[in-house]
Amino acid sequence: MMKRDRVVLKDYLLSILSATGAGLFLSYVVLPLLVMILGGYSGEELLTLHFFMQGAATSIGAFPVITHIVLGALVVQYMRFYMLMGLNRDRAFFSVMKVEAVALLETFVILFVIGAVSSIFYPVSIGNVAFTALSFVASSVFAFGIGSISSALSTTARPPLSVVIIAAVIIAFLWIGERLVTFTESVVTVGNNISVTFSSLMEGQEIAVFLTLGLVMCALSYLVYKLPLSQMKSTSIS
Amino acid sequence: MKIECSNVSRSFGRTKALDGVSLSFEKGHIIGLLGRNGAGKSTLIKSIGNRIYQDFGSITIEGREIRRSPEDFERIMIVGDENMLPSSTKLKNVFRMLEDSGAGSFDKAMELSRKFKLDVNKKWEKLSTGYRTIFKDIIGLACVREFVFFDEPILGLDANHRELFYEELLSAFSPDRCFVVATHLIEEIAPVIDTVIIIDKGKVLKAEDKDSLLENIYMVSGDRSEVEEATKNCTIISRTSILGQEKVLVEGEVENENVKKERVDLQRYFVEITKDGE
Repeated sequence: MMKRDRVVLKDYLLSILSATGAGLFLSYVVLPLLVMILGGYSGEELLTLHFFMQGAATSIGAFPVITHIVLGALVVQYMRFYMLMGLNRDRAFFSVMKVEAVALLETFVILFVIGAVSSIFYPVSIGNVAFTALSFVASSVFAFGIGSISSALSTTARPPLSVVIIAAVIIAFLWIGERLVTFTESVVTVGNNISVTFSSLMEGQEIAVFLTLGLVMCALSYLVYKLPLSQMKSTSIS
Repeated sequence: MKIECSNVSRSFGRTKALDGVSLSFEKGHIIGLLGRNGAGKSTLIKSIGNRIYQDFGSITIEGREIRRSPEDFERIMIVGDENMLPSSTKLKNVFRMLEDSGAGSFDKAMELSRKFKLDVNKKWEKLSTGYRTIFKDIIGLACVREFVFFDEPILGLDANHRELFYEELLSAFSPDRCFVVATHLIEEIAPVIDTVIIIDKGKVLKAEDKDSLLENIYMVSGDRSEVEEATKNCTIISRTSILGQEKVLVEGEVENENVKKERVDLQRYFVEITKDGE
């Protein structure tokens, strides 16, 4: 990372940290308290709470994933920021992508640490924790891709046309993603009598699908910024 | 060294915002980029700043297309009228990024903030219109780029802040830099600039040294026949007739003692050449 990325990186990392913090607070403090209060401390509810806590570690992952959609939607805003500092469009775009890559790494580390700490309280392998964290990172890439392409498209047309185009593109990618994921739900056989079985939250193929589609959307958004009609003066997000 | 725009055109739908604009921005000058609303000033600045792409023509530094040359692009700072800042970022952090990216000085930005009484711990979204302009001006004034374009730098500023801006602009200027100021307040900017570019309907009407631009411009008034006689060898810029009396703005030598001949200031000249039959 370059020194000039410091401010943007701080914004991105803080967003992920805050989202995960909110997720932790909701999943480990607010909801358990609610369950306990509403359940009246009965043994049955405590058993429910135990199962709930097991699921909480993974549900926290949804918070940074949602944040990555927002960060994707802010790409154009941060590009404009970089451009103000003297970077041309290409460099501005790749600088934001570089910062996002670090934010994704941060997402993985945070989720892995949460999973690892949670594994003290219930049995789960570290490999499984890593794989689950990776699956959330893949979802984050997909989410970021959606945000990124929608912010890129916002520079080409004005509402309501831009809204229609963005909605159409997002629906198309979600549809493609769903088809591909459904397809990969079947057991994949590699070579003779070798089949791969995954036990994580997300199948390995699904990770690949989400990663690929996310990257494709980022690449498409780069191409959108290259279009002659793309204008960086949009203020629709800010 | 200069930025050269050659035959730059840009349309938005059926509207031609820039129509074959050719001009240059040379170091060592403070240039006033003047034009009426919708004349194409901001479109030109945005084209130079890579915010929008021109349909035709080229924008170069020493023959290199700016948008394809990142090193040359880093010589330019565009302080535009549009929001280029993340709304949630603290102003102080923007100044920090200015320094980190080698675009300007954090200390200078902080010093200017004190002078303009700008609270640097605020976020962009919390600023009033005037202070948003001040903040952008500070970025432009604290930057060290060779070419700095200010698009409407006095929008929403009170008289004191406008004075301060002009002072700081002159103090930040040096012969190895070029400042371009696009504004509507011609009377105020006139003493600050040395070169004038007037754009109207996407075309360049005038681009020259301020003093030589007005050197042979006169407002001639008097009896119609006398005025016609006096200005027969001049280029008529505008003409107003009331009850046999005529008032014409001309370029050239006026040869008649029986007419009233006055020099005009930049604002009057600008109004006359861009008034479009109003």
